[in-house]
Amino acid sequence: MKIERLHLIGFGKLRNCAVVFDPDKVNLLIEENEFGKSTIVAAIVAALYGFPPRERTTPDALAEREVYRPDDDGPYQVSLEVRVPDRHGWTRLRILRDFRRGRPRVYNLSEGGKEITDEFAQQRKEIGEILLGLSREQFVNTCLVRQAALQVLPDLSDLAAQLQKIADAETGDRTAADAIRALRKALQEFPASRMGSGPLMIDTELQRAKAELERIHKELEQLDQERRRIEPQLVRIGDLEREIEEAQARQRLAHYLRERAEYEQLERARERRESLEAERHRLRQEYEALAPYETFPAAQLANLESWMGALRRIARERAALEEQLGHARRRYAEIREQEGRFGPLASFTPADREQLVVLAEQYKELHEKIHEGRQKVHAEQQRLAERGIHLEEFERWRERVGTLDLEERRRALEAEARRSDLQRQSRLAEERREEHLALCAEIERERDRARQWAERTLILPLMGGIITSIALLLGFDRASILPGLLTALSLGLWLALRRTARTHRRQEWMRARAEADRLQQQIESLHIERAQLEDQMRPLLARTGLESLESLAHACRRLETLTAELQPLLFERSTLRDREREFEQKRGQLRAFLDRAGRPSDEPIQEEIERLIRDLDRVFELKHERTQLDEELAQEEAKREDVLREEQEYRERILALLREAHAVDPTETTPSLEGIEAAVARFREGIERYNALQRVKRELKQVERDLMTLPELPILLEQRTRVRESLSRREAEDPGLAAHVPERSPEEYASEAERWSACERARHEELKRLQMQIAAILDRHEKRRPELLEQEQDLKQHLERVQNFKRAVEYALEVFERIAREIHDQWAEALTDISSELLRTLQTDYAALRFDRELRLRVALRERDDILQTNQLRSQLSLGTREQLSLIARLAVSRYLSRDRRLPLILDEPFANSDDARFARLMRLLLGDLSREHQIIITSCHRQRHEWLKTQYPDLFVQRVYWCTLGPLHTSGPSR
Amino acid sequence: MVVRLRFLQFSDVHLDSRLTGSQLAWPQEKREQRRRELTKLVEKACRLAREHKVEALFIPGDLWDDEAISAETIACVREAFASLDPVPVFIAPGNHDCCSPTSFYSDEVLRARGMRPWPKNVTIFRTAEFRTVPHPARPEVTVTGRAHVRNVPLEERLLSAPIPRPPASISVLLFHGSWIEYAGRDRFEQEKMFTAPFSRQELLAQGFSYAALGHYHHYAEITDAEGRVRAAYTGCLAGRYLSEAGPHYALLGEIGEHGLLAMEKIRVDERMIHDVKVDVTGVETESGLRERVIGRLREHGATASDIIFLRVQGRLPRGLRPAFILEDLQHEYFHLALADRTRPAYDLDTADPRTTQGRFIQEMRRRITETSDPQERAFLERVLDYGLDALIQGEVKPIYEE
Repeated sequence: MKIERLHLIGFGKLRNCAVVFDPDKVNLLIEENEFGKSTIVAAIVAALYGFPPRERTTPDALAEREVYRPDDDGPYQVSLEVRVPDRHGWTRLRILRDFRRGRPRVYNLSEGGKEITDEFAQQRKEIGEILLGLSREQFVNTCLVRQAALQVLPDLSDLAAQLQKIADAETGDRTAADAIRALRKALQEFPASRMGSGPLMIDTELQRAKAELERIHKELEQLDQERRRIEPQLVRIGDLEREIEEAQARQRLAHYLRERAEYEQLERARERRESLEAERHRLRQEYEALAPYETFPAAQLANLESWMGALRRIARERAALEEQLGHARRRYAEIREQEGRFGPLASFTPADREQLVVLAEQYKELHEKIHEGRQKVHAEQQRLAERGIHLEEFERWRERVGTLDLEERRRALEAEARRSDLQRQSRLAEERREEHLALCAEIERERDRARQWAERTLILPLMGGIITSIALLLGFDRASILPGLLTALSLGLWLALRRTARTHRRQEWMRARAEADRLQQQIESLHIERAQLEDQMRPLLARTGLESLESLAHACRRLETLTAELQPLLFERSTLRDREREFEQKRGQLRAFLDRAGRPSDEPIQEEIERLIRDLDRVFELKHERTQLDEELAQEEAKREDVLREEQEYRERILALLREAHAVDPTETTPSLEGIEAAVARFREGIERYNALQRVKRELKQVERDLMTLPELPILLEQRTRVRESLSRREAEDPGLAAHVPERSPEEYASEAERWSACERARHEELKRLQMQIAAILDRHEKRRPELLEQEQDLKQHLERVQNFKRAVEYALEVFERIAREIHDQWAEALTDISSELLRTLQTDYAALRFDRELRLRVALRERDDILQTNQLRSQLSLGTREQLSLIARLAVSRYLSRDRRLPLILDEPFANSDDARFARLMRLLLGDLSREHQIIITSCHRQRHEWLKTQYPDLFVQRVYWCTLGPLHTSGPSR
Repeated sequence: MVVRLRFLQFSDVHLDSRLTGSQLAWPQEKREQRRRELTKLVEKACRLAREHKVEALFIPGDLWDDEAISAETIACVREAFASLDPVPVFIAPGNHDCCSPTSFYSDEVLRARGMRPWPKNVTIFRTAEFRTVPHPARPEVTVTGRAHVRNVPLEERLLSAPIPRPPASISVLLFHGSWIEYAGRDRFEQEKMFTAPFSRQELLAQGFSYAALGHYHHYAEITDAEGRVRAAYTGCLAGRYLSEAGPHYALLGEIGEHGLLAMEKIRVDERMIHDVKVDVTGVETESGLRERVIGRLREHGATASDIIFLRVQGRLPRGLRPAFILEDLQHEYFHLALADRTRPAYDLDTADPRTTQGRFIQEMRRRITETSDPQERAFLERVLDYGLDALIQGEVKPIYEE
């Protein structure tokens, strides 16, 4: 495409002006600053592409439409005339944009200005995109080189980023790498996180959401379980309700039966009240008839009966007493007569009689014992004589030592025994002393023999001494040694023997000697003790006339022996004598008794004594009976007197009472018992009437009381009617009730109803408690479950959204990464090819430009074999060279994107900061080879510099440069 | 003489629905109001039954949405049913209002909550087995039903075998289950439970005069070979979710021995959900956007009492924000939920395949074109937009997830 003319009808500050371009040359638009050169460039872009759509605008870009909006309300239009190649050559088009209306129009100038807007509209692309094959951004990034755009590439490594932007995004200035980062960031920092306080990793978000969901599920499950748990309670509620119904039915029945019973009770009460009123009437009539008996002394009946009973009893007692008195008097006379027959015995007392009986028994017993004793003495004498023991010897020894008492005889015997013992001890001590003395004598004899031996050995030292002395005297010193030694030895031997003789059995001798001395002392003390004993016995010897202690001891022992042998005989004989004496005494006493009874006897016999005792017994009996009769007679007499007095008293009391009751004639003072009895019978009749009166009164009172307990008859009738109505209602409500008949009292039925009511209340309480428990669970369920379900649903949706988002982003990421790689590979290859082709047409120092997958540039120089890597470009290449490379890269991109179309290249104040040489070289590239391929439009304010360049390349300028000017509309273009 | 039974049928009221998680995005106060309205609808339906002097009210399930229904709502429903006495009410609990031992269908539970038991004119089929009861006033009419006792899918073909029942001139079946030939909008809803399935053939083979069906939320009827209506889903009584957009009815009808003799669909709910889609592609100005949306709403016949789900889709310049521009529309309807499904107006048609952007667009569009799965297509479209967001905007946010 070539640009031929730009009409600025109204764009920015430019209005109704035009710029004409030469399609085949380098168009130089040299004007001062603020003239509007950049506006012209913007107008070309806007004519081709319009303004950026709203969604692509950045805050800066947003203002672009407004930046160029004319200040006044005039037209906001541009018109661009271009020519585009076609099959037949070129077609000239006019693009007219009215920015106030929005829709561009396209006219085919080659066909007489025919509007072909619809043809473009059908393609749904911007006009520039259709004509150039580039999007707006692509065009701006490749074909439009704004002021200092090349200089911003101090390092060609930035070129890769720029190329990536072009290669990746048709809109915006981000690369695929940016997009991938954004996608990854969305996964790393999930922007709509709800599970954390800030952005979370999307996986973490998902995990937390799932965990929360699980928690909610568990709680829901717990709620369900809790709800299931009330099932048994519901069953229990059903039971309770049935029980309550039953209790209510029972209550109804109990109340019904209570009322039935009450009705019957009321009926009975009514009947009773009527009968009681009739009874009260009857009793009042009876009372009036018995009223005179009101004052009857009925209270005295008991007294009267008691008195009458006593009077009768007394009369019977009096008769019995008189009969007893007669009988006792007759018996008394008989006893007196019998006592007279026993004469002297009357003076005997019962004590006498007892003494007599005892004496008689003792007398008889002594007689028998004396006879037995005599026989025993004789037999014992016979037996002792056979043993040589005679009573005479006993008497003889008793005559001698019998004067000694037993103690004395014991002492005599002990003294004799002690004397004998002392004598024996003395003899034994003497014998032992003799033995010890004999031992001492023997030891002394042995000592004497040893002493003799020692004396005999004394001669040896004496002789040795002599020999030694001799030897010494003779000067035999050596020879004197042996005798000297022998002398000394013999002297030692002598001394030893002498010591042995002196100490021989010394201890033994000393012990024997000491023992002999002690025995001597003992013997002496025994002698002394025996002498003392004999002195003590001497008075006894003198009393007995015996000479020695042995005789005395013998006499005592013999006497004891004989005494022991003769003891039974002596005892029997003594006893016999005592009994004989006692017998005599008893016989005298018995004789005295017989004499006193007038029955004297020298030798009392047993029969007499017994007869006397029997007579005495009879006398005593008669006497005793008489005494008793005396006492009885006195008592009976006294009793009779008492009875008579008592009878009189009762009689008087009874008569007084009977007179008070008008039961006896007042004039009769001493009526008979029969008369009294008749009066008492009349009293009793009065009593009966009195009692009838009292009964009537009681019954009347009771009737009154009973009537008091019963309601009045109208009230009863009213109550009965009311209960009947209630019963009818109940029967109407439950006809089955009528079949029941009360069997108990209303109170019992009321109690039963109360029991069932209590049962019902208890069931109701349990029911209420269960209902409260269930209600609490259901309330919680009702409140919490919807919350949880809402949370669950919300969370599920969130989870689904997050999962979907994650999946979508991951999907986009995967696709993006793959496509970006493919695109970059394609671009690298294409740019390398295109740049190589470009370089072939351009006179440069580079053999080839190569782009890698990252669209980084490497350069092969003509004069060098190696390839400059991207990181070497800055150091190896000059800035101008790098600008050249940048320009070539842009051209390569534009050719690639425009599918090898030769697109116009618009440079807005290029190379402004380059030095002259570099400026000249770059311009040389543009003016030379590039301008033959591409229409080039250059705007600049540096007129002098371009004038200088013109002087540098005058031919080239003439051939290749067209000086543009901004003129009024309808300015004619350059000549073809 | 022709035997007739005049009845009213409604079901799937889903009382005390949470109304959360819906695309309708109910605000709290609207949710509560709508819940109250649902309860009132039952009362209204009962009034309707009285006015039309029906002889029976059939409720084949899903009277309420969840066992966590409030006692207050139950009390209202109970009173509404009691007000019909002596007209019998037959209820066959569905999967949502399943008749578990702890369900509010249990009189014990009601009493535990201090409430009165269900009135005597209400017959609830409480067992999973079919049970047949006579109409209390019409001995020649029997009603057969069963209950879902758990809210779990039931795969068993309950209607494949004959249901034993006594002979009757008019036999009615109350059944809550999935008619496999149903093709309503909610048939393939993700969360819709497929339970107690049956076919038309199986249902007709049972020989019931009429079957009152519940489970699906849009009206559908099953006719026999003679074209007589032998069964009908009334659908839900009122719309709550987007899938329930459109009118909803209670069915007033007369049953003869062999199907319906007459029927009338009566709208009980004065509100209706409108699912309005507006493509705003090409709109460049706010006024243009408003004009297009309002025009579309008018086309739908939406009234002020209605519930609107407004899907704004297409590609819009980034500066145009439908949520802000259309905010005031929310005051013109009972509830308006705006779903901004617009995407940035990326130039997809002119993408240059030699650039990464162009290739990406080309590649994704190719994949989008190739797939026949709408969900996959939507997913790929989101991928495309996320990719372009990353490249052009430099940031990616989950704004395209519905």
